Amino acid sequence: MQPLLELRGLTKDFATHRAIDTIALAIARGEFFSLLGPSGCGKTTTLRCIAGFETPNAGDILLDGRSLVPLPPYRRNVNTVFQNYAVFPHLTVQQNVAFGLERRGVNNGAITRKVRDALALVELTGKETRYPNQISGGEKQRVALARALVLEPELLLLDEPLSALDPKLRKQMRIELKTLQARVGITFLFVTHDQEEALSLSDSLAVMNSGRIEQVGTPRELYRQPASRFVAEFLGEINWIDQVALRPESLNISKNHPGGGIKALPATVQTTTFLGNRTQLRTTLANGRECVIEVQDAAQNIGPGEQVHVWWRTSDEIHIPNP
Amino acid sequence: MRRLRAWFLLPGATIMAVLFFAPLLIVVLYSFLSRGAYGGVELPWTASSYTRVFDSLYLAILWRSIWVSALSTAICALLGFPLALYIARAGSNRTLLLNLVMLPFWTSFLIRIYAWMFLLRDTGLINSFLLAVHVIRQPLPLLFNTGAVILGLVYGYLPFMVLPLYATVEKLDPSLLDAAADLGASPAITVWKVIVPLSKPGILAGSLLVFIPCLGAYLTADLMGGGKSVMIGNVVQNQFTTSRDWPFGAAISLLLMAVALLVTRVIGRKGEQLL
Ligand SMILES: Nc1ncnc2c1ncn2[C@@H]1O[C@H](COP(=O)(O)OP(=O)(O)OP(=O)(O)O)[C@@H](O)[C@H]1O
Ligand SMILES: [Mg+2]
Repeated sequence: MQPLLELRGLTKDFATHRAIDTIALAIARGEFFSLLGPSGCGKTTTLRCIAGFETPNAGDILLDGRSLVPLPPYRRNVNTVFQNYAVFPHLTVQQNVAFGLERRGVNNGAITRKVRDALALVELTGKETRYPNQISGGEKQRVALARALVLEPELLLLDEPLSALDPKLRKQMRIELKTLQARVGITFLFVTHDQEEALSLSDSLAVMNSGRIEQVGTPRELYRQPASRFVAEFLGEINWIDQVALRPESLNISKNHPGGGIKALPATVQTTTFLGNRTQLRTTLANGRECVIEVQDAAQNIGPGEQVHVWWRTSDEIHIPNP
Repeated sequence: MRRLRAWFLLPGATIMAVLFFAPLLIVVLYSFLSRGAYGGVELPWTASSYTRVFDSLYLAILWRSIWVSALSTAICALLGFPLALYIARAGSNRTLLLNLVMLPFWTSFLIRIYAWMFLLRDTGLINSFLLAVHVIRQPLPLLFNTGAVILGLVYGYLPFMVLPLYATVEKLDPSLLDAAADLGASPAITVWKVIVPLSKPGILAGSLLVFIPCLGAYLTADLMGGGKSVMIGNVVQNQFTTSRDWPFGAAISLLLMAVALLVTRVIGRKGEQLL
């Protein structure tokens, strides 16, 4: 099946600095796709090329098999939710949402109806006549979302839409965003530097590192079988033990050796941190390396300074080609 | 702290009192006195200057001055807006371009107006050239008419429009312009629907800075209008020179001030809704 969006060898230079480097990506219709990477790796630049705010130096961007590159931003059937929302301060909530429809020459009756539906979708009913300085950050974010969704684009680009919200609201909006995407059926290309966000939201994700794509796959694949040390470490804490990598939750701990046939190493507990649903133990292995372990049952009264055995199942080992 | 603040206020307050309010008071007093035979003012007190102010001749001149100033302001805004936008987007050339906008201030306004006259008069550069290349047979009447006055005013006050406009446009969040394009607005629509409304404060400030001085302008009207296109400023000037009617001059200048104040208030309040 033809992907909805395809990036082919996309490259963008700013003066002498290469912001994105021959990026190749294919996003299927209806997918929730995340672009994950550290600050400055080129996520925003990639989105800006797709939206049309930057002209790539090389490569092509295909939407439904047709190149977007020659089109100005206002002719692309792609909409963006900006990192800082970019809600028009001189327009009311309602007028902000109507802006795009008016540009398309939609008749007034239809505009009123669509705006009402879009505002209901993001739960902003009742705030229609407020100006952006009269609503909260989370509400502005919803206006930005409604303003883009009301145009029913083939692809919605979201540039760290949750990063300006406080942690609690961020978690709530994360769930809402996922439900919303499933309901409207629009393909989302979601940019974030938060691995938890990317893992929990996406159907597929791509991990970026200094302008390049490191790996593409489902959250599970990337977490369980990272293709590079960078991906392994970016997606969560990881321990390097004898050429293999192990996630903290794959490790177990016991005072006595777990028995024959099980891989185990002696270690000294440094700190234990109670995290509610689990306990995190920082230990030092015999070779002096640090090893982080997360266990469910905090009941085993193991404290700092204690000599323990760290053990794991071979099936949980992560083998990275060239670590 | 309060006391300290009061001290900081003192120099400015003194200057305002001595150089602004005192002369204003003198003008008010003069306007209620009688005309001296050789200029100056004499007793008795009278309000007759004010009855003459509402003579239809002067009201007509005042009205003309208002629309000439309004038209000049509008032209300044239309010319100044794209210029301010361009400068704001010019990147590293901004400072150079801003300096170029202010460059005319380095020479006297009078000299610059004379320069325009040399360009526009019948034997001036433009007419001589057009005659020489046989585009025209008679010199074009470029000088000594209302058009020339408006040209002179626009030329003289354009920087006062450009600078406040630049200051607002430069602060516009660029992502708003991206957002407009993203939602399907062409560059022209973005200017009209986003940039202009958000530049309202700059447009209002610039309009006041151009309109008020235009309303009182007399030099431009005198030289470029050649006495044929009189503005209310010329009437005031005449009362203090050739006509030697100081009380009447004082009364008209107070009327002018009242109009200017009124316009300031109207622009300040209605301008908000108008744009
Ligand atoms: N207009 C520009 N001019 C010059 N360099 C730029 C420009 N925009 C981005 N860059 C550079 O390109 C690189 C990628 O920037 P980009 O904004 O795409 O990063 P990002 O992944 O979105 O980061 P963040 O998570 O911090 O938003 C950075 O090194 C940045 O400094
Ligand atoms: Mg970014």
